[in-house]
Amino acid sequence: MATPPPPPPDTKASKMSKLDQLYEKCAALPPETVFHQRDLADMQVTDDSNGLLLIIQQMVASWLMLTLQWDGAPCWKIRPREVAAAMKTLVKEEREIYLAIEATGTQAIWTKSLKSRTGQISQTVLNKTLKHLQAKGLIKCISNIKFPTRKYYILAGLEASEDIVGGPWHGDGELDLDLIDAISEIVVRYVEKESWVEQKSAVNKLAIAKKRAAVLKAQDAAAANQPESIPDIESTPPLFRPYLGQHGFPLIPQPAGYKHYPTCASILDHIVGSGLLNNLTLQEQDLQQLLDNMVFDGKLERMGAMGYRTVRGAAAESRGPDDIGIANGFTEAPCGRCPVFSQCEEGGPVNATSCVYFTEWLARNL
Amino acid sequence: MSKNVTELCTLLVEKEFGELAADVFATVAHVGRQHLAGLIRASTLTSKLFKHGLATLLQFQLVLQSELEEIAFYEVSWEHAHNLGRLGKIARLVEGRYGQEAGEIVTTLLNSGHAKVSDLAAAYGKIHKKADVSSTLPNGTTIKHEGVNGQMTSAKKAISGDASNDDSAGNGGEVGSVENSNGVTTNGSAIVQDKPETYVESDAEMHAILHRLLKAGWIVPVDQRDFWPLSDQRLDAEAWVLDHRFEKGKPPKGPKQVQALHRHLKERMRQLRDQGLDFSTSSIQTGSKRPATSSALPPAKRARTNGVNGASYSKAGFAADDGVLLDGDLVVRVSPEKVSVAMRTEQLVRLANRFIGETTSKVYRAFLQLLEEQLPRCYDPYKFVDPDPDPDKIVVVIDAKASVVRVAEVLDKSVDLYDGLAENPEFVNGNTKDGSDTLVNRGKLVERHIKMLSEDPRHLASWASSRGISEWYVEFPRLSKYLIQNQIEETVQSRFERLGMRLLRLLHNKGKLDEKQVASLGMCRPKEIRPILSQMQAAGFLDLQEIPKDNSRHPSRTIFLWFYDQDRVRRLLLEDAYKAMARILQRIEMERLAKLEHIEKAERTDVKGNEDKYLSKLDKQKLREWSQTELKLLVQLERVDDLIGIFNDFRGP
Ligand code: SF4
Repeated sequence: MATPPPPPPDTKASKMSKLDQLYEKCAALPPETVFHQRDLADMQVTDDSNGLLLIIQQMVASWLMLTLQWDGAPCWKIRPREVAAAMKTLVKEEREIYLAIEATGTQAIWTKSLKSRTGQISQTVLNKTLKHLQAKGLIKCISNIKFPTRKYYILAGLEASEDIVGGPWHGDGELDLDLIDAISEIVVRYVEKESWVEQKSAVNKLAIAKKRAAVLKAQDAAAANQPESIPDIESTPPLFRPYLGQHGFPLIPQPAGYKHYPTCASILDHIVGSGLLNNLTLQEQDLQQLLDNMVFDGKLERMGAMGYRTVRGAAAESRGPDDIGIANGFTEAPCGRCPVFSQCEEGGPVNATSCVYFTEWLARNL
Repeated sequence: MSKNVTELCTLLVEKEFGELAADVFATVAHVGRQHLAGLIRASTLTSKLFKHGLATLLQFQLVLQSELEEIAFYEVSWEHAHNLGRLGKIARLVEGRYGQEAGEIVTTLLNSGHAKVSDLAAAYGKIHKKADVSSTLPNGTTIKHEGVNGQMTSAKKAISGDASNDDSAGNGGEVGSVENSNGVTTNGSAIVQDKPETYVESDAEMHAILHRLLKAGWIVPVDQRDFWPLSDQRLDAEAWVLDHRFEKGKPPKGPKQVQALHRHLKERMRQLRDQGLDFSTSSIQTGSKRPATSSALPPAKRARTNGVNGASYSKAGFAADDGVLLDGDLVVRVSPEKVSVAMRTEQLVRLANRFIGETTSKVYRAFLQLLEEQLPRCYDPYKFVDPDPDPDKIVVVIDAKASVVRVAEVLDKSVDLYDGLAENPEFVNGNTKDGSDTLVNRGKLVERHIKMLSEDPRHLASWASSRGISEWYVEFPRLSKYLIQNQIEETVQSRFERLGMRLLRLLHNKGKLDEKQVASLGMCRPKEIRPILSQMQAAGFLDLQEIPKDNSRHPSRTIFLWFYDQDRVRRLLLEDAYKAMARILQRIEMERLAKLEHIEKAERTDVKGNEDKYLSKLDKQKLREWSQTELKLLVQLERVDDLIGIFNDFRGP
């Protein structure tokens, strides 16, 4: 340990007991660090290894340290002082259960396994003990996404591993749909901004207005009983309602050869930069999963190997109700959504002649 | 054929030709290949009536006649029967491409099934005088016609054989003016609102239009074989192949020879099919008034005076440029395969309009319509396939391509090509609006639109070459598949919400998955997707595979895997679409009957022309209701038919 910082001033160190000195040196390193005897010896708190082992023994006895095994050799981890203090107050069974939970680390432990691992403790005792430990703030109860109905316990100071809690998209053992929606929303808005251009020219507003007028005129004419001029049912909205961007201008694609379509990495940067994540950490692979899903969902589409573009109009859709109308010739007609389609037969009890769905559909917008 | 197809085709025959023809059609469809006596025995009609009905069906190739044996056998043609549901659409597609006169000529032709050029000219002249054309048809068959846009059921339905004048031409334009069925305007000009009376002024002009349609493959010369069932055509070709390609009396043996037989058979079928199309050499000559200077085919450039979008359509162009006179005895028909090609164009343009933008979709339309002229059909079953391809060579077969300059040439000049193009800071050159509207400049702009089509995730266009000129083609087989998937997804989305579509796409992409995997990959809660998965299974969109872990067959010892089989769903939806079309037709009939009293009154000869005098307020209101109802149903009918195009016609088997 020849590197700075230099060893703490002797004056201060000498005021502390050797045990405290060792503990503080360990605590200065990241939590959950595992120390081998060599590491502890390097801290140069004692002059010889016997002295060191003595201190270690004292620390283990006072719950400040726990002993682990690594390749047959012992090694140690420290516990927070408060925890050690609390442990001193525990009765034997409680301590036993605490140690069992502690031993499973970030994997957490199911109550049933806990019971078998700690021997013949009865369910009631176990429950009481767990409650007690929880009340002391030593452990907490979590749920496992793989087994949503089981109760799992973990040390209060630990975060369960991702395969238990399911990564950033899970909260309380369940998929956090609100979070997913919120992030999707950010993604769609960002990707649309980067992958489409808003055509800001007066000419186009004029063109839209013109088109709208033409369509409306045709509709008026239709209303005035000139069936010849009824425009195609489906074509009406997009005609004068092109997909608009966030500022209300028509969206046009980036030109061919555009190189800056957002990628998973750049989208992640944007999300992190937006500061909306609070203390959630999002890895690229988590985001990739979401992006894949947004592609399945028809919100994004891939441009080339890495890039993404929003499906035209996807952002507008999430801004307001979807009035662009998704249906084809089949599902617009009553039969395409008919609950008794398979029974419908000319001459049968369900047929086109007496069909109420048709009557209703024909009555609509005539 | 399935029950749904039979039902639909019979209804279509009834709609166009009346009950008698429909009865006969149903009998032939039901009995299958059979000789006349057998058919009459199976029918409740008298032999005289039956023959009468059959004659009509033969004229329109709705029934085909096999002459291989001593007595003739009959079969229905599903393709032609189904095409009856497209008459209005066909007229509109042609009109949008070649102008109003061409649309009307095609309508006339559709109304007679097939016709001699000379008869067509005569009939066409008469149609504009609103006269009956039946007497001028070949085969001596007299058939009822319904004027321009035969698709329109003018309400009454005379039984075929009742050759009384049915002057419903006035009603004809109804569906004809509904926009292209997919929401893309063809630049407005193809939509005729106040249809002015136009005349094809001279024979020469009429011939020029026909010639153009022939060259583009919309109409094709009729061959004796066209009246034969496919199986007969095959047998005939096979006999020829055995005669000419193999040693006498030695039928092909062994896999190699059988393969060779198949290859020769294909080739022979192709040859027979295409022989009539080669105008320069075939016996069906296009005669020319100017024998020395102009060949049978007018110079390519001249034939292209029409703007694809119809806007720059010029009537004068025909008469002045092409001095072509077709052989008056040439018998022609409309090619249903070509109709599918045009329907495919419409669907692809719809995609471009949906996913990229309107201007780009107009460029795409012009581009696709150029390709159309090179493509007689969506899929060629007799296509030449190299018998032993060089495995080291990757060949891209390009059946049709077009250069950006050609697209710029045919594209309506009023299309503002700057619209829909984003400025690209990376291309400093070529992006400035220099304002010059030269062909070269427009070509460059067209290229930028086409490149966007090419970079779109659907890759709507593909690069062919850039040696000198920038040329592009379209991967139709892949896009046809995309269209199928796209329609399946839209159907699922409107029935099972967005989540249903997402799960379908997930399974399409990932293959077989158990419920837990679906939930975790799809980022949804298992309890949320369970009901949707089972509903989609019940509706036939998804399948469930059971894999037992052991022999106990116990559900808890079984893995259930969800999967999606696109082709199965396609077939399912195709059947549904046939059925839905049949229901719409039945509903039209029911609505008509409900207003029959008023409809018949309006059609009385004394009432015609004196509507104000004889029709009551109630009459008028009921008639108005009827025409609106009918229109709405017909529009829907065509839209369902668009799906049939996608699910059935654009793809190979
Ligand atoms: S006709 Fe009516 S009952 Fe029959 S399938 Fe269509 S909507 Fe359903």
